[in-house]
Amino acid sequence: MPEKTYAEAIVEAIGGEMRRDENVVVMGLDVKQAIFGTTRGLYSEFGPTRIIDTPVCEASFVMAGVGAAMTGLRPVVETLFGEYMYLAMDSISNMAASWPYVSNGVFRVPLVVQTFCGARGHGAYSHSQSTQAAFINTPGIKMVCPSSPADAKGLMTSAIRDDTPVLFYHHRTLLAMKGEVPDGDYALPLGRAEIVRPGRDVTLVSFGSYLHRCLDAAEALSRDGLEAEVIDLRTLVPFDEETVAASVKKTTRLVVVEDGRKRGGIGSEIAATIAEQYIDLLDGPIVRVAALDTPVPFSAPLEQAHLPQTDDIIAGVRSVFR
Amino acid sequence: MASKKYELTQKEALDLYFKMLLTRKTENAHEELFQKQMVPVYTHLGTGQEAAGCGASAFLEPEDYVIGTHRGVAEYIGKGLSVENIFLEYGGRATSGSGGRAGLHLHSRPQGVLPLAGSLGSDFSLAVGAGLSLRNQGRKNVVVDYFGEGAAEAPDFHGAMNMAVLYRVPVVFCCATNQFVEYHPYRDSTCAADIAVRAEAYCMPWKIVRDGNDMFAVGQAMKEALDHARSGKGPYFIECKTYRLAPHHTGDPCVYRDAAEVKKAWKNDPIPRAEKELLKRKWATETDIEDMGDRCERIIAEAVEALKSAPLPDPASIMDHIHAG
Amino acid sequence: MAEGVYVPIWGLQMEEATVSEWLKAEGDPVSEGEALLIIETYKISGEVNSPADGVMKRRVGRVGQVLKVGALLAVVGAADDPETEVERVIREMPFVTDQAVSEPGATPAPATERATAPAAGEIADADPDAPLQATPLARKMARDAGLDIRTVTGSGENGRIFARDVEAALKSGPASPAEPPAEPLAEDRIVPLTSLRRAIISKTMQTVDIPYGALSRTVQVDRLLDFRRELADAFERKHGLKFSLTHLLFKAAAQALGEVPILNARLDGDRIVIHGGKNIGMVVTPPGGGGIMIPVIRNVQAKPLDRIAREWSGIIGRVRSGTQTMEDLTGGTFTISNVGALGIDVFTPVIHPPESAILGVSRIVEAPVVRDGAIVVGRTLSLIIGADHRVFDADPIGEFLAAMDRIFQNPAEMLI
Repeated sequence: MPEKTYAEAIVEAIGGEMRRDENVVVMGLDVKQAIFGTTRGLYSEFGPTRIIDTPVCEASFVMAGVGAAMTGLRPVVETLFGEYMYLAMDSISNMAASWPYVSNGVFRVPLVVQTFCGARGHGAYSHSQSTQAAFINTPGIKMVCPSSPADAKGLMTSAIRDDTPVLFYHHRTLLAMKGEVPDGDYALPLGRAEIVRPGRDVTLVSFGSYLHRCLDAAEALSRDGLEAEVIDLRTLVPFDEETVAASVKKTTRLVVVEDGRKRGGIGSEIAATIAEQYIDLLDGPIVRVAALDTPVPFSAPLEQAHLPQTDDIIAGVRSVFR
Repeated sequence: MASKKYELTQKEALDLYFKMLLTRKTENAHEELFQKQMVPVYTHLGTGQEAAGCGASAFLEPEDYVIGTHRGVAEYIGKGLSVENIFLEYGGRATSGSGGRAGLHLHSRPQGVLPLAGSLGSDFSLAVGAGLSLRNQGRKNVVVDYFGEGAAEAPDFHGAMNMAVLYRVPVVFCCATNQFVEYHPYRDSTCAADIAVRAEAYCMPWKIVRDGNDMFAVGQAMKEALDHARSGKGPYFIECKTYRLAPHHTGDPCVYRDAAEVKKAWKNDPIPRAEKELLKRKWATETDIEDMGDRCERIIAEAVEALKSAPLPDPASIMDHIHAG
Repeated sequence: MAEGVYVPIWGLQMEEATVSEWLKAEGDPVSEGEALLIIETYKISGEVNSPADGVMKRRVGRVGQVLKVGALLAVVGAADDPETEVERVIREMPFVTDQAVSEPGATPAPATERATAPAAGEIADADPDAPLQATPLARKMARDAGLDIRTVTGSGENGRIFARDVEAALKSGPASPAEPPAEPLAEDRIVPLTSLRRAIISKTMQTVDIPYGALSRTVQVDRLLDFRRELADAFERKHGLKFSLTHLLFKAAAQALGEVPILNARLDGDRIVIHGGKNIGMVVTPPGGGGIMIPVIRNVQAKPLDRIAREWSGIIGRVRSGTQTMEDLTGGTFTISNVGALGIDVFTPVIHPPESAILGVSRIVEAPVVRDGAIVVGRTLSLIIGADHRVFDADPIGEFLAAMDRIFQNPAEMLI
């Protein structure tokens, strides 16, 4: 099977859908040039009416995407940094999320808003954040964060085909990641998690780039005879409660790992859901491994202290057993 | 000066007048319904602005789009939204277009009434997006984004104006400057007197209708703007100077304005002025006017009946349409 | 102003003490320097005195409770000091972050003691109303099995109970009530650890990693015993003390150590310290038993036999009355363990850290010995050196035992 980068896989998904459906358009800053590679080559194929460079106005151009989605187009709108999603919050959480429901399904918003999140080193507070948690409370949307090139392609295809507004978070450190990616169109279902490493002693739930840290942690734990079951959420909203619960039933222990801040993070929602519905399965506390509740600092030792490290995942797992 | 080709025809004038009359009566009926507690939502009446509001949307096709305001129903009735649907929405009834979910947020796909933003001034770009759809789909339709000068204070105004010209979208921005923003005269929060002049900075053609209570003037300006947009020349900005005869909402004591000024403004009420002009041009007789009035009353009475017998939504439907399919 | 009374430090190695007996009740007047209670460490027991005049406002320590050095024992103050003042002292805890090492075992708290909230940092496991730490799954398992989860011992930190603990408890549970026991159950007796036993555990555990060797030599003791007997009356007349084999063992060992000093040493990091003074300890059993003590006579090499006898008499007197001091029990460089009276022939004496050697003395027996080519009945015992082989090997041990043997055969050497 051919090896492609994550970014190339996204291009294949978007390009494939643009060929399939002339209403799919891309909007964002310099999408013509494809700053992060996710639209590379599409401008020369589809031209300016479908690869639409926008001015610097996330709040406005995401709202324009909403308007276009309500009236027949299927826009993929791009904000370059997770932080910029806050600028677009009115468009997403007030308009896109509400109107399909408020209009009783009459005004659908088949919109994808994609962004690039996660610290890459020295990005400081404005170019490092994973802001998925900001939207955890927004109804009427779905939120996706893949961990591999093959998943990215399949999930993006599904996101574009879905009539629900989908927030698509790319961990920027994965953009150059290489992996086997099938040619041709294929769609991976949203809302379904995958058990990427079976185990019997603890359930480790994560997504995106931190899934790989969980696998590293699982290997280290395995050397001590602790077998972790690692689950890749893929979709954060709605998260695959069934798969997580079945795993917790088997292992009796749950640790949720993310690179976003701990307070009110994705882990908080998963922890509360499992605790609420499945408390009697748990032989120990649910542990959230996440970033500190601080802005992302610039200097390397501070940034490393802010972010959870593989050792923190291992320590988090061990603490459940005490 | 607008060219003669955009002057209103008799039919257009009568149609516009009827819509203005229906608007006035519908809004008064809404106030009554609220006072009688038959609808839970109070009023933001657009009394005195009917020429601007109806004029903005009366010349549109069903496949054209309008984005309106939270004030009054002029632009909605102008676009063809039924009074019955309006009352059912205000009443939160199961048989309304939204199944009781939208309330004041009027909308209709068949009538081309697009959703409006809950926060004032957030939906300029929504109109631009709709314009992008029309452009990409090769439709000869237009979007009228109708708003007040208060909304034009919001940041999305700038983003939308810029994009509208960049993408050459078929959008007519129509600002009804009614002299007041919420509880204060607009000059207390807007530094410049005229709104449309901003279009100059965006290289967008613009026109100010100084007598925005003259339905003939408004109609003529709108027709020209719509023609411009529809022919692919890009967006156009119209500003209609008018006056908000109504308070901001039901029960607002209007301490921020002079009662004498309001009384004087009533003399400029667009509906009697239109009536007078129609009679003067002999485009309608007194009887015609009366008949139109009666027709309005009947429409409203039927709508009230529909409201009374309409059921409230079933809570079992609460999770419907959270996700598409 | 109220003041706290804290567990004092009576020796560098003292870490904790057990509350033994209260001498004052709450409300009793106290004067500065007056004894308020008795505490005991593994070595000694003693009084803790009031720091000021006033009344005993609050007794904090409970009889049998083991507290850390610096922990709060009591609060004294003026009679009219309000409760808030007492609480302030209790809260302040200037010396420790948590007080208790353990709670009294079988001893119930006296009825006169006020039931206050536990002092900050006290381990709450003695309090039956403290929140139970058990995971939800463990609770469910216990619930479903009809097991009272409070009877389960938790394996987690702070005693948290996990599913595995409930499982274990269920497995080792009593036989089903339908089956009557085949024979009467032999019940276990639980003996709580005294501070002495805890100290012994601590000390002996320190020897676990020492590479240990036990080397012995059987020696004849007729000459030694005759020597003692011949001098006994004169000794008693002159010094008023009984002349015993113990004194001779002290002296002989000191002399032999003078000839083979490496056995009087300790390993200190990357060097060996050979002590100048021969501070020799002798293992004794305190009255009441329950363990051993090792009182020490310092600089035995410089003391004549009468001085040794006098000091040993004083020490034994103090041990018998339970008034032995820190000085009595510390500072040793070499130890003698005489188990002859217990009828033991062979044993491996345990080294007393940080020393490197211990001399074991076994039972005196009548045995055939060779003298002048003929077999006669003599009396022998075994001398056993328990050695830390990091510090020295068999050669010095052989020399030491040979020296001891020579002195036993020529006991008059101990007089010169």
